[in-house]
Amino acid sequence: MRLARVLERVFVAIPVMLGVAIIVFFFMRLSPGDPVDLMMGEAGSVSPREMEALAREFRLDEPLHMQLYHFLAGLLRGDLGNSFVKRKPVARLVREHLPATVELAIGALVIALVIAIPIGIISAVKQHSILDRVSMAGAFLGISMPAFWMGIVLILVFSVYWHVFPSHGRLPFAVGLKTITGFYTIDSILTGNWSALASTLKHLFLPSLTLGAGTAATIARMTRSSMLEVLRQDYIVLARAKGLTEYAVVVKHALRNALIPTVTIVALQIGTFLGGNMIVETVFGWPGLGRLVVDAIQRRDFPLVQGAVIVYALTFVMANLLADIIYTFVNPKIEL
Amino acid sequence: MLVIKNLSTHFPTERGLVKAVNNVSLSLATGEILGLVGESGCGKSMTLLSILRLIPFPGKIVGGEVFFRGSNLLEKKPAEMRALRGQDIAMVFQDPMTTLNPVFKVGEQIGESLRIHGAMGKESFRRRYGDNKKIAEKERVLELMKEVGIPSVDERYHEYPHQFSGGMQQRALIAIALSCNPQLLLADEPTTALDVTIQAQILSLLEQINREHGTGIILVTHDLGVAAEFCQRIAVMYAGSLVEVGPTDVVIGEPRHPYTIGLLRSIPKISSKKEKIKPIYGNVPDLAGLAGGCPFAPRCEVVKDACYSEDIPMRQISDDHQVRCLNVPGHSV
Repeated sequence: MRLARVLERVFVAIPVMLGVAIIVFFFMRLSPGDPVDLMMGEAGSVSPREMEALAREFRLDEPLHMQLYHFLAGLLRGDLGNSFVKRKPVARLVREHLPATVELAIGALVIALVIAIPIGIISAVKQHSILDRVSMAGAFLGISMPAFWMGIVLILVFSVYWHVFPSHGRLPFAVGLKTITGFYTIDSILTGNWSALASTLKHLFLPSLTLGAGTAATIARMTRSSMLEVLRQDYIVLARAKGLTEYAVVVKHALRNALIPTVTIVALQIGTFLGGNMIVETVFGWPGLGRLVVDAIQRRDFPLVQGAVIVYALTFVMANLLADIIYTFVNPKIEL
Repeated sequence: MLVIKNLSTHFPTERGLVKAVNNVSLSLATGEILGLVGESGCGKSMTLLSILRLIPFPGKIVGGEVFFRGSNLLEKKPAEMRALRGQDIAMVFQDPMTTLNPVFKVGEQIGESLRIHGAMGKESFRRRYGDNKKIAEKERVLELMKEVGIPSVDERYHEYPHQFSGGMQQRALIAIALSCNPQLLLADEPTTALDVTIQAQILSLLEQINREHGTGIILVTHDLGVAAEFCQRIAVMYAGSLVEVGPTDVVIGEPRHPYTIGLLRSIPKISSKKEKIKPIYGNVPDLAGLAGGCPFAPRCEVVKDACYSEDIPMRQISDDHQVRCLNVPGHSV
């Protein structure tokens, strides 16, 4: 039953994706700047015939509706086209850059949860304590501080002054990691390359912290307020009247309930982590999808932008679905 | 079994100190049912929560003694207190809809008390339910659910609270309370949130438990009618203080405190003759601004000047009948 509902939701997502694809297609072509001009500008003096040849190669000489037709037809075959600039299939480029982005997103999520959930719980249980005030002030800071600024400050402190964490990239070349999945943490474990694993984690830390800080702040505040709400409920008094320890009351009876709203936020944040990290990837020179797309937009690399945006849309839709599915597990009152 | 002496629980508030429980002395014999009666906010629930030492912040028990089987609960260590809660003293709450934890299955919640107190490891339970704790626990839970009148227990065991009706939820809560065979059951308005027909069923269930297990019950209610039908003794509470305590037939038949008399008069009677009910005029006083003297004085029909100035002691007017009123002769307790 549940599987049928999930499949139904997946099918509903298809027209959404199609709509996104068409909108991106038009917006890219509406925006000023011509890909051929931009490429030729870099090459120096070019004859009009050479420009025509390029335009023909990219099918930019065809009418708009034909371009759209070729794009959608390719999409249905699973072909996202070739990048104008990199001259490679878009699907391959996305596949090469996605693991870095996903790894960063997972890092950010882990850091956010590890920081936020305990802080949220303790702030609620010890409401009005110094710890509560300090962490809520910190959370306010975390929400307010823009990622690029925080990234730069972290680099300055931890890389430039203290030399604790690297400032740039995913791994130094010297480590010589053999890539299998593209997830460096997994690859280094698979190949037993422990120095690479240590280095990967070090490289991951600052960007993950930067990306996760805002979310950590949101989750901490959310957990705190829903925990405060839950701790006032009658079933908490019953739990105490049963003879449970305060720890069991908080962690078993209160937390399960308090996390219901938090879980939804967390699942939705996964979509944001994957799609909203262009700034963090740029600041930390992280070779992920975000940087690839920023570059592609600047060069009007239509197929690459379209392909990447479709992947983004897909992750958002899936994150939403995931949120709904997890929600049914944590809240018995809800069915899909 | 339970002797409460001069129990006081105070709440500091912005408007002043609220004496929610003010110098309350009560006792409960083994297997007895005592009714604690009064209007909302008069401190009945806080009296029960004080016994379990579960007063919500910022309230505090500031004085008195609560003897349970001879030892003072207020002097016990937190761990000793936890061992008593749910095992020897259990509580049933007012609103079943919000008292079960919505994310756990009902069977699981009933079994939890058994697990906390290691009940299935005890000799009497082992003999009855066997040595395998998991099977024994489920067996015990199903039996409890049957005892409190939950139908088709095998399915109900795996259901969540929201799949239960209010009456069924209260039965489940009573099953939780009964799980470890407590000697004392604190029932805080267990029927207030339920329909009248369900009320009667729940009350007779409590009566049956009292009869079959000899469980002592303190029934908190605002309904003097319920207390009259169900309890052996009645204690009437007003604004944090007890005003009259005695056997049910005496308190109902010959009430002496003006508040008890007023309460009895304000119960509508079903009869062909149309009688006007006589309400008690005025409102329950604000507990934060309570000065000395009788708290009922502003609403009292037989009030004297002295009622406002003196702190009025509880007076013994016969063997087991106590009243706190200047108009009633008798010697101070």
